[in-house]
Amino acid sequence: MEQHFINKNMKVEPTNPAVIQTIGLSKNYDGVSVLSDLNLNVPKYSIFGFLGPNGAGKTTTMKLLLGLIQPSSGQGSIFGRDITADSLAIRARIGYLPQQPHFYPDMTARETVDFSARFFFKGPAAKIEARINEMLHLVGLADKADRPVKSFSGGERQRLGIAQAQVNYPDLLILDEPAAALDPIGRHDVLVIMEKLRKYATVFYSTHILDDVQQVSDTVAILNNGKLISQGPIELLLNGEGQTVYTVLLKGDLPAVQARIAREPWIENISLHGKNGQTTWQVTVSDEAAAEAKLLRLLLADEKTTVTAFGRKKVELEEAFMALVKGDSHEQQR
Amino acid sequence: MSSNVEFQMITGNNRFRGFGNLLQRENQKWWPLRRALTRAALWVLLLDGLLFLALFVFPTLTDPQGNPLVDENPLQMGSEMFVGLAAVGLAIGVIVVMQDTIIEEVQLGTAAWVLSKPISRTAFLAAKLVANVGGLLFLMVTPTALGAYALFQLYEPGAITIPNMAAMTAVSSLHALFYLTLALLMGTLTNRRGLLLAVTLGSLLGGGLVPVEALVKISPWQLQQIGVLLLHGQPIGGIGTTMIGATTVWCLLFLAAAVLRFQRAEF
Repeated sequence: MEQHFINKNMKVEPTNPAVIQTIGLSKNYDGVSVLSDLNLNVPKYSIFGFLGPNGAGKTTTMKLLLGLIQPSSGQGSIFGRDITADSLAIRARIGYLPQQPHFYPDMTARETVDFSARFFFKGPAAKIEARINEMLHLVGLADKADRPVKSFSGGERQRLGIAQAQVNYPDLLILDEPAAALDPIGRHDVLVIMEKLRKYATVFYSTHILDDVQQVSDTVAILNNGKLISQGPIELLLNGEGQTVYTVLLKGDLPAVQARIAREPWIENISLHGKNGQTTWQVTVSDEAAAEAKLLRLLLADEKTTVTAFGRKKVELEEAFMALVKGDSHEQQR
Repeated sequence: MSSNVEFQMITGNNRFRGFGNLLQRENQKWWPLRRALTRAALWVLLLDGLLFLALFVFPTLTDPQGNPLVDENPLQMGSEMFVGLAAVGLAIGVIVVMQDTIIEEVQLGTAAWVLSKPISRTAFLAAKLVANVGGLLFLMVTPTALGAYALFQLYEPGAITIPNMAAMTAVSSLHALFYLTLALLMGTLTNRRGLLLAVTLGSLLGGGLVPVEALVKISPWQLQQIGVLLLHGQPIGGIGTTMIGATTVWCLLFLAAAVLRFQRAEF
């Protein structure tokens, strides 16, 4: 891959200290690599979206962080503690939602959250009860608190999973596909909860729903075939792989304008796409300041040319994600 | 969102961290009153029912000529039947209970969920062991032993003493414990119920057929014969002591191996 917003070889310098850090973290099963040389850096109080196609290694990474599986090589730390040696102490500060949450079917929702809570703290029964009620209310299960889990739908189990993951007010929430089984309202609720938690906790979550990531995440990492292909602040990714590109819609004597603009030293490339009598230009520039000051003036200087739209190109996350993943896959095939 | 200050946070890297909560959960499988009473009643009905037949019904049966159908001393026949059936029945009972105790949790994903909490893996296994040993002793072994003692007393007061009954019960429990710990170990080694059942039931039902005497001496396969001797207050000799000692060692080895294996298991 030639360019992307922050690649795996670049040093990431987050503004907040890292809660999760991995160095060369790898996992093989019977000699087959499912996670390779992962260098991850999750800043404190970030909502960190962990993206990748199916089988990319997202769940494997989460299980490694939780000590449910052991790394084949490399190391990782959470809160500055080693994920292998200090797993118990780390888990005391974490809330975890598995990809497909399974709880004891004979327990009620209330009993399930209570069961989770008692691994973390002791206290007056009334206070514990109040905490359990708070969690069930938060995820909209207060009216189903005393129903056995076996009668719950997939979405309700997901909500219960989020409730039990938060019962200890964790410093770090690890959520594996938190919105996967939820309807649009449920998804919205989860995003609202994640936003609320930003002040108190770091949220490290995987998802396939890129719209959600774009809404709430401040930092993302993209994994493909067990390898990290990008990580960093989401704004950088959405600005288009580190390049500055302007999108311009024009009508008129375009060859003349194009020739004049192309002479500017800060213009790197102009690509043209025509449709319905209008032409869309994608203008790649090397000097953002010069482009801001001069590009629109140069375009408007020609009276025979009409500019109907002008702006800095913003890519949708899905577009950026697809470009990175496809680019990485092609590179691996070569 | 308030804070955790109103609670006493559980801290430390204790080897048995989470044990209490896990044990409470495991005990729920045994101790809801109705379920516990039903289980105990079924075991009493099965084992003591047969003893009742052997002591009080079979001796009264005669052929058309009036000859007794069963020649054997009812006390001897009854004790052999009871000890033999208790050994096999209790072992099958614990194998059936234990076959799913780990495998089901691994397959369902509840093991991964629970182990993502701040608990030690040793505590996870220990809770299963203690709860199931408790269930075995208090709901399967003790009620049937009490029932059997009452029947023996009813048949011939003083024929079986309390210490002898207790010794036989201890050996029966040890026999069942061997299969309980073996099933626990197998649950950590495989996710295949068929394999677990093949190994445990194979040992239980086929072990007695092993022609190697030295192996039989260090196995639980003939412990029921030792149990009958103990019930009647007869000496068990060096072989009996070896069998009891060896079975105890096997149980400890199975437990140690299960803990070691489970520490390395991936979920």
